[in-house]
Amino acid sequence: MLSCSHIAQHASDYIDQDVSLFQRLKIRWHLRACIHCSRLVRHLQITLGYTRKLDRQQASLQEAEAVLEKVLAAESNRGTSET
Amino acid sequence: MKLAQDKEFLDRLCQQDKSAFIELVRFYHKQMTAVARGIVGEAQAEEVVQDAWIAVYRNLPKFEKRSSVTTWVYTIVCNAARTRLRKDSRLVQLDSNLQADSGMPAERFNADGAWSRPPPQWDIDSPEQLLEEEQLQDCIEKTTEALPEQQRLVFTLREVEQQSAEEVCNILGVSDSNLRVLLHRARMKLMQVIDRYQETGNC
Repeated sequence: MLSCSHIAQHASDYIDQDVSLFQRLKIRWHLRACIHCSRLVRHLQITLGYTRKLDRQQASLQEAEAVLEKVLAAESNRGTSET
Repeated sequence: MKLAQDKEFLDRLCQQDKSAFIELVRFYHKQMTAVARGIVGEAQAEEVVQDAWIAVYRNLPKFEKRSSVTTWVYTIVCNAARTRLRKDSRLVQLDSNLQADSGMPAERFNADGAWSRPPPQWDIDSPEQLLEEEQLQDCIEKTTEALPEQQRLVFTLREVEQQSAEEVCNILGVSDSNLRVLLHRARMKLMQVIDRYQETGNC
């Protein structure tokens, strides 16, 4: 049977379904028998669901306008140096 | 970005429409800065991102929409960051072979690999319930910002931008196995923040 540290090591791969069928079955077998590892996997799934739902940070309008201003200045300098 | 799939928006963008460009910057700027910081460090990140925006704007008329806007802008910022490292002669290979691990302190397990300190029980059982905890959100943001650079890079692209593993490997030039190790370490750190929050009510 796989060890708990092995389950912890492969918990992300298991959740992402990035393990072979044989490995998946072995992990499932362990999770049925081990309350701690099944809790770990459940907590990791909740963590991922949570971080994916968090608001994505966006730049303010002022920040974006400042970026555009610098972009346009660089483009205009480029135009000048090319002529 | 829903807008990035909107044909009318993409057409405006490709014509270098300024209001469309501003929307693009607002959406990606913070995450691009986090990615640049992960490659060149804090001091040069802003400059690199500004260079990347210049390159994005300049190349918009040539954007062929074969790749997604997300993949395209992140590829540009990563290239800008690598160019900066090369100029400073400090380009290090991101893709050294990483050893997979549990992402938890070794003392959590006995010598035979069984738990010596198992995961604590949570009284919250869904992402939606966690979203109601404002203080936890601060803890997660701080922890994400404090992640080691490579972990933050991978986490931003995979979890925040929800890019596929294949796209992230292409953008960052890392192997699939390293990507998985870095992502797992980042996720486990964030999960342990919630463990601590559940046990103590603090970060």
